[in-house]
Formats: sequence, structure tokens, C-alpha cells
Amino acid sequence: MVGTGLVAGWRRPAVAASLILLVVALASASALRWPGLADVMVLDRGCVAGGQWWRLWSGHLLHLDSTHALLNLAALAVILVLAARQRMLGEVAAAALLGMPLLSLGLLWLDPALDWYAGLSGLLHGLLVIVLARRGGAVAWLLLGLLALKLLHEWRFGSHWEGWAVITLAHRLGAAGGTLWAVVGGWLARQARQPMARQGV
Amino acid sequence: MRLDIDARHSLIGGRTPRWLLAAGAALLLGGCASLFEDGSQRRGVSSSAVDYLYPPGQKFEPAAEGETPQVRLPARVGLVFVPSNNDPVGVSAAERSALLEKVRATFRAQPFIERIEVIPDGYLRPRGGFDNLEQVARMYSVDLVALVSYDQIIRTDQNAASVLYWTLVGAYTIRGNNNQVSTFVDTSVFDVKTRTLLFRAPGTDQRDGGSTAVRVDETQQRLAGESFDVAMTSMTGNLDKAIADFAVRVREEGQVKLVDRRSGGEWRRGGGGGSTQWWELALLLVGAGLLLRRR
Repeated sequence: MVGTGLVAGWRRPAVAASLILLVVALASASALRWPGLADVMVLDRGCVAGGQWWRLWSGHLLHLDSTHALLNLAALAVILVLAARQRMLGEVAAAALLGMPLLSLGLLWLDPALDWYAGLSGLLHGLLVIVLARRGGAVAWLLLGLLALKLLHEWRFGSHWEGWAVITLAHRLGAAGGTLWAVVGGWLARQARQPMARQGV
Repeated sequence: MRLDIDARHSLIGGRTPRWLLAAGAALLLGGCASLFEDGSQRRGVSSSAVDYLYPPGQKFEPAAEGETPQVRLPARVGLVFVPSNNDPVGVSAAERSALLEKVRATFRAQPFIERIEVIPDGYLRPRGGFDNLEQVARMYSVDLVALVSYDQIIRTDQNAASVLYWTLVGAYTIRGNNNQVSTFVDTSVFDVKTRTLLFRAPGTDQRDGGSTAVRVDETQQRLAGESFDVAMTSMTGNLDKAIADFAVRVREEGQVKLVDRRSGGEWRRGGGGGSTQWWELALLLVGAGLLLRRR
């Protein structure tokens, strides 16, 4: 599993989860406090084309208002708690770092009318799928089923937020990326276990 | 005495001269037909945004001269008919409100609108100027006001068949009048604080219909009502295009700076955020609670 080793020896996953949350919260709060910083962070099609590659990551840490930030940070906290409980914080962190630019590029490629994007929820959908798929069990599969229904509903009817458009494509892309990660990760884990099993025999 | 009796008899009895009877009949018919004989008539009703905002004799003072006006988005918009002393023909106050609702729906679909209020036109004073507009904008807490004005011209002409109106019966049966209605409506969107015209969208309609002399007013009312409705619908369609053109002009010409209301930074159009909703978070918390209770 990618990144599992990073935190495998970490005795205090709660501290690691808190640190990740703190970094994201600080980035979000700073961008809300200083509009100039938000202008530098937002995922902007023209700026990315002009070589400002950091926006592929930073756009996900930017939020459009405090409610937007609080809701996404609360969801991130829940996902981090679940990941810490399953000792997969390293995998989640690796998935986030790799997923951010892929999600950004996917958005810009699949929606040519999209000039800019900001927000963590696309990534959160992916991380949630990874954590739930790894967790398994009836409740996890029920939650995954509800998530799929929600994504279908958003696809058909859109989603509303006062004052700006909700880019539901980010949610679908994030969930698709998370599913791919979980499937490939599961296959790699099985491949890794098989030689060990043979050696055991 | 005999002479007097003969004279009275000659006037009342059958010996009245024919030329006198013919003249009397012509006068009678002419008098009746003259009720419908106004021939070509032309009247107009209008309300003008220019007259309202820039009344003659009042000096206009731009709010921020020399600086690029800043418009805060997402915007709070007020929508109102420009006050006028003469209402559009064939359109009741309730119908005007319904038409404004159509315009409102067009604005609501735009991502740069936070909320939009329909303002009763009674709140605007005729020729009130920007001072009056600012008062109303403060009252409704709106930054932009979309002023809807109209200009309607109604005319009627008599065609060749109208000669039969002289028969009196013809005035009820012959469609000797051509009625024509031209309607022009316009929505001009102003930023109240900077007193800047942001964009405008027109809508026009022209229609005509024949009528008998006695049904001219009724036909004009019907045509005018239909024409106003169609012109408003046409204007609503043009609003979409005007809004898109405005966004391009702002980006390319930069005559107005669009500012994010919440952050104070530059307003970015054509994008959005990825957001978790309240109910999603609640569901996630419940699910996580169940997962954490199980080993």
C-alpha cells in the first residue's frame, strides 16, 4: 500500500491527523483573511497555462467563504479520524498529494468552460471512498451506496450554494479517482500478500 | 290667420320639399358616423429611464469620478419599472408584476446574483434621479437596480372599407380600422453606488389587427397587452446575451472592476467551488460514529 510505511511507525496518529487538519485550516483561513493570497492560490485556467503549477494543489486549500471552509474542514476531520483509526493516514496523505493535481487537471480538461475552481470537497469525495472501501463492512458499503446516489442526483439536478456555482464534476472526479485508488491499492495488496503466503506454505 | 294655418300644414304635412328631407337625413347620418370618424389616431405611453435618472435641470454628479467603478459580486439586485404618469395599455399592475417575475427568473439563473428583489414602482418618484434610487436601494439592501422602461405607440387608420361606416350599420359590421401597436421595452442595469450603467437589454414587438369602428378601443387594448408581453419575453432573452457580453467587455475593456463581496479580492467568473453540504456532513458524522463503534 502506498504510503502506509510512512506512518506505520507513528505511535500517535491523532497528532498526525491534527497536523494535517491544521495545515489545511491555516491555508484556508489565511486565504480568506488576505484576498491577495486567494488570488495566488485559486485554480485558474489561464494562470496554470501560464506556468503557475502550484495552483493545481493550492486551489483545493482555498475556500470561498467561512461556511464553505468550515463544512469542508469538518468533513476532512471526520475522514482523518476514520483513516487514523484504520492506520492509513500515510496512504490518505499520499492519495491527497497525488490526487490534487490529477483532479485539477481533470477538471480543466473535462470542463472547458470552467475558468477557476476552489475547494476541498472534490478531494474529500476521493479520500472518503478510499477510507470506506478499505474499511469494508455493511455500514461502509451502505455509506458508499448513499454517496453514489448523491453523486447521481448531483449529476442530474446539480447542487446549489448561495452566491457561487457548485462544481459537482469535482465530486464525481474525486470519487472516481478514489475508487480507482482503492481498486488498484487492493489489487497491489493482494499481489503483495500472495508471495508471502506461498513462502509461508 | 288662414295664411298661418297653411304655412304650418306645409311644414308638418307631406308637402315638405324633398331637398330638405335629404339634407336632414345626411346631417343625421353624418352626425352618427362622426362618432367613429376620428380616422387616423395616434397615442403613446412611455416611461423613460433617462428622464427618471437625469431629470432636466438637475445636475448629475458621478459618485466616483476618475476611478474605475468597483461592482461587488455576487450582487443583490432590485428590479423595478421606471415610474410613469401613464401605464402601458392593456397591462394591469398584476400582469406587470408577473412579467417582472419572468425577468427575475433570468437573473436568478446567473451565478453572480446573490438575491433579487422585485420592487413596487410606487417606491420610485417620477424624475427622482439617483438620489431617489439610492434611497430605495438602501431600503431593499441592493447594490444593482434593473430599471425596466417602456415606450408604446398605438395608432389606428381607416381603410377604404370604412366608407361604409356612413351607413351606421357598417360601423358595427365592417372592419374598416387598421390598428397597429409598437412596443419597446428596455432593462438598464445600474450599479447604484457608482451610478454606472453596467448593461442593458431591449425587447421590441410590433403587431396589427383590423377592427370595426365600435371595437377599436377593445382591439387596441388586446393588441397592446399581447405586444407588451411579447416584448418583455424578447427582452428577457436578450438579457442573457447582454450579461454574457458584459462579462466579456469587463474582461477585455476593464471599464468596471468586479470585486468579490466576501473576500474583497478580484471576482472570478465561470468557476465555482467544491463544497460539502450540511446534510452531507451530518450523514458522514452518523456513519463515522457507527464505524468507530465497531471494531
